Amino acid sequence: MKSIFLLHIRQIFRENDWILPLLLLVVASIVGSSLAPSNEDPSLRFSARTQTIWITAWLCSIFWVGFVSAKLGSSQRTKGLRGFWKALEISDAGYFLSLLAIPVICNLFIFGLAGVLTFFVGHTPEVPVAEWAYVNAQAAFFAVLAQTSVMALILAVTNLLDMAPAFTCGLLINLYGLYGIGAVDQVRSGKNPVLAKGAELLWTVSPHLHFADFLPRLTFGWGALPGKPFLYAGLYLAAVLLVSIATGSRLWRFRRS
Amino acid sequence: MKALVFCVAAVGIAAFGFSGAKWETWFPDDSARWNTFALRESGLGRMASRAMTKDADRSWHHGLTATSQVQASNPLSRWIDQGVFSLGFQGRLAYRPPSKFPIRPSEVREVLAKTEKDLSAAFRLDPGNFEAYDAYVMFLTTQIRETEFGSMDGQKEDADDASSVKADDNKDAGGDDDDDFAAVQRFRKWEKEEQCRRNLRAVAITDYAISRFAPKETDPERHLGLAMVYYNRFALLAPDVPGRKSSFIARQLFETQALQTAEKMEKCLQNAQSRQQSMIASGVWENRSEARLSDYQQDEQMVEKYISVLCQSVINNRKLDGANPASQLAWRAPVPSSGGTNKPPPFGTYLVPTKPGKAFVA
Repeated sequence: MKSIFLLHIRQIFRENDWILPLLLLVVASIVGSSLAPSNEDPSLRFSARTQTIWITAWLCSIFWVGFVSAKLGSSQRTKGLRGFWKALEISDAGYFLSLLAIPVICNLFIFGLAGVLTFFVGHTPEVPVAEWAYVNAQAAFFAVLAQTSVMALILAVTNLLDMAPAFTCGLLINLYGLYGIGAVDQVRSGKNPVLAKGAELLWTVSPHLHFADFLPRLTFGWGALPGKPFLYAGLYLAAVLLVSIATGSRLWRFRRS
Repeated sequence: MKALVFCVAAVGIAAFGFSGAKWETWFPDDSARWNTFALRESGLGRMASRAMTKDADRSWHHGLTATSQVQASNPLSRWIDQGVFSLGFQGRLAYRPPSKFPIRPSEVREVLAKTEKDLSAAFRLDPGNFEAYDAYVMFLTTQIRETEFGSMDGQKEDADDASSVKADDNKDAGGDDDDDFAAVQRFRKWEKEEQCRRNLRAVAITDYAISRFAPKETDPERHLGLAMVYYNRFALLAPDVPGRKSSFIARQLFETQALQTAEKMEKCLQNAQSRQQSMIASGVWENRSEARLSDYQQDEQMVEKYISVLCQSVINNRKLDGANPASQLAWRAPVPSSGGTNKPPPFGTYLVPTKPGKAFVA
């Protein structure tokens, strides 16, 4: 299992794709303040940098890490690696988890870097340093947790689909869980009782990835999420991750093409 | 089986976490729960709002404007332009001139909906941006039948605007196109309902702009913008002249509203001036371009003038009552500090010309 992980993580580093998100995040931290009218309101400088960095991090995670996951999963079948590892009697679940560790590392790299950059260039003087560090750590932790569940599904789906459809599946889940679910929320508070009930059901069973979206909290300086809701939301996202890993392992079972 | 048990346990944990997280309480009371990329009311949102309201002229023409002619500088560019034109991408006014192909009621509805969507998005991104607010209010309070549909193609024939299209359609109604007549009738009915909805919407967005204004705002221009929003609110809600002529209560209501609005505007003006002073002291003010500084001065004068207009309207209102207006007027209009002439300005708002407010005809 360790060799599977090392083999592919080395491959990712050799391809130098990771330079692109790194570059984008650094550029975002530099140009972020000029994307807002910070010459009129200097306080916007920090919030605009924070916002730009975290938007970039989310986009990099959704697109780049999603792509890496789809490519990684797809290459297992196209290069005949499934049969090779099977012959070495590596279990499907172990194989799946070793591969999943790679998108986790990528997400850790992206959101960790976003947190560090925001800590240094997006810190508003009025906010205590410890609180600013804490809220950034919370944001990075939740973002990695939420994105890992989506990456697990992308990876698993590549066992059945090609790279492009698998990536699209992940993209759609991300868009729905982060933003599309807002439409469901609006419908469930609508006047039509049938639609509202349907939306309520959908709301209950949908993956609430938007819990991990700390962009408004960071941008508008709402401070850190209190301990209790943080714990419950963390439990929820961890449970969603468990479901997606369980489902993913099931989908990842060896099959002859 | 193992995976199923695992999933059921995870779903149970998820339900427990979901119920305890109380996500609805994560946000301050006055914040939107759904804010994609936190754009609304953020620094980036402000910039986007400005970019979206640059083309305010488009709203005046309700979306039907001629595209600007680009001078191709090289053969490849010319070739691409020809291809674009051949596909009809140059727009409705050039591709199907209204003089030959009259604008249909369905098109009017479509462009109105599209333009409103754009203006609404710009306003929502930054409710404190007076330009975005004003363009939207102007769009909402402009009578649909008075639009200048199709006037941008350089022709002023009657066929160019929507009202004349309707007139033409009426002429044709007895002729060979009964469907057109029915469509125009439906459009008239829709127009009446739509105007009512638009008026209510104008009041709603005005209240929203006031409620979303951050008192800590450091930009003096925004405080001047707020003053004009107060003025617009008054113009939208104050009793009209016939109503005031016939009702004592309407006259009293008008006076109360006018004086309250003037006081609020005066306060906004003072806030703007104090912010300006602190910006001058910190050296930030000097970084602004000459054009912006000039605009600011004009805006400041305009707010002062509008305060005077309010005061004058109270005097005029009292004349309707037959009372001696000047002796009873407790509140006095301020003398412009920045060179204003106190001459009543044209009606409407000050950044883009709007239709006359109904409140100040007297």
